[in-house]
Amino acid sequence: MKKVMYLLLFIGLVLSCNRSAFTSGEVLYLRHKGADMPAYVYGNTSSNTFILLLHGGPGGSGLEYRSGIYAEMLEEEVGMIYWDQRGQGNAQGNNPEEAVSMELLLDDLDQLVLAIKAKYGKDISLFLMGHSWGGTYGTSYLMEFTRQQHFKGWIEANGAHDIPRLNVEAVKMFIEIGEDQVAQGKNTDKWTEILDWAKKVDTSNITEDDGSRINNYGHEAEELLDEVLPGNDDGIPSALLSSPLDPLASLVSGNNTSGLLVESGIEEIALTDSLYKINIPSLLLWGKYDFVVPPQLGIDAHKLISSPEKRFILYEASGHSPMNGEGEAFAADILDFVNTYK
Amino acid sequence: LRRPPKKKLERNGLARKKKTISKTKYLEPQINLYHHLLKETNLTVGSEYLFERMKVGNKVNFSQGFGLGVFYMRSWNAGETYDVIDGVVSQIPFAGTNYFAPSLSYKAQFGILQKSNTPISVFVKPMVFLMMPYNQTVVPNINMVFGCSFPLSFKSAS
Repeated sequence: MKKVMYLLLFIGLVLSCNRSAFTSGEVLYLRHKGADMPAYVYGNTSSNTFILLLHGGPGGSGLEYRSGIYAEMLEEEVGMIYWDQRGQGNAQGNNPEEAVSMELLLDDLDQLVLAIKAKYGKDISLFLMGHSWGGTYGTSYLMEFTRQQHFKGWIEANGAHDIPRLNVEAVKMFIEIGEDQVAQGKNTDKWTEILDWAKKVDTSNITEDDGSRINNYGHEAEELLDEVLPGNDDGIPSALLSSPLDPLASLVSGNNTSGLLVESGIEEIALTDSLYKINIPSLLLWGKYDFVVPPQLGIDAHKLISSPEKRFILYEASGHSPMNGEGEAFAADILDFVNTYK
Repeated sequence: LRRPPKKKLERNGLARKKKTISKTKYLEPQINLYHHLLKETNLTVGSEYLFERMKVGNKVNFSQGFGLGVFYMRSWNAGETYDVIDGVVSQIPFAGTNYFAPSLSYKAQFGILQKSNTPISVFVKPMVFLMMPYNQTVVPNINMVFGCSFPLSFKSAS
């Protein structure tokens, strides 16, 4: 009898896990060419308005973006779709190595849009949003007119739609802001190190190693500035604590996929001269102190996108991720755009 | 190097207390299952070869061990899975991924109620499965297993 009681106790413990803690959202998967890619959907899905978020990296995850006041504000009004791209986040599968390329990723997004519309209805208002690498991905996708027709609008936040150009602009920013900081006597050791390096870079021939240094120094430089507001604990807690993201699998798998994409040539993507092809309403959001993807790319995009319905917003107290330090303003600007064009 | 004979030490009252270590090696077939509401349902089937060591007579009946295993792992997606062929969207029932997953584990176990007719052991067992191939690489899947074990047939020492 005792043995049965112990067994029942054990089963009870297992079944007593609180379901409500996990079910504020739902997940759908896209299976395509060897990969199962989850799209986590949170927020006000009854609004029939959705924002499909393309995460950064490559090597990041959609759920990393589900934290803070901005995510809470957006989810109150619209459905947020945090998608894990092929080989990243919680995406699983065993797609053939040689197949990982931008072309395949664009094909994935085609299929995802169809799956989302099959689930939530063909009449939904769908917006595409990309941050950082998500800007490279989203802009590449929108180069075809038929693909633009799936979306009511394009939201690019600090998007890397021209990687050679962002490298050149980043070097300029290091020198300009670095000299100003040294003159003010702020963090002089680190700024001198960055300046010494930046002044030696041949901007007409930026190597892969230079690109990597630009990215690392870019994140460090942002941290050195008093003008950049840090993130706070308001809103949805960090994805590590509140989501199904498996951080270890995401890190290992994401790094591997990032390497494969770099090998496939993504660092050469330069779309500035093709931005005129975008004809849908566009919102361009940039942090003023973004050394990783400098705001000049957003300024260019605002000039060159063909759509007359376009906005460029610069966040004066932000770097590469304005959704962290200026989350409320960031979300309010997105909601204003979405409510105008949905 | 000369060591004094053990008997002499005992006579002088210097002899160390004798330790008796029990070592066990065994093969343990396993079926593990977990369900995560927004990630996956995960099943592993396989066997683990365990090396356990216990100091006989310790008060808390503590034993510890290491395990090496070989498993088949099946992960079922937590939500609806869609496939699109020629623009036609369809759902795939029971979609998921298969992996080969060798494992490593450490097990710490305490015996309780050892004098009763129903002795039980409780254990904690961190376990790492190495899922392969996972997006063209090997990805660790770390699990913490908490459990209890009891013999289905037991004859009390008394």
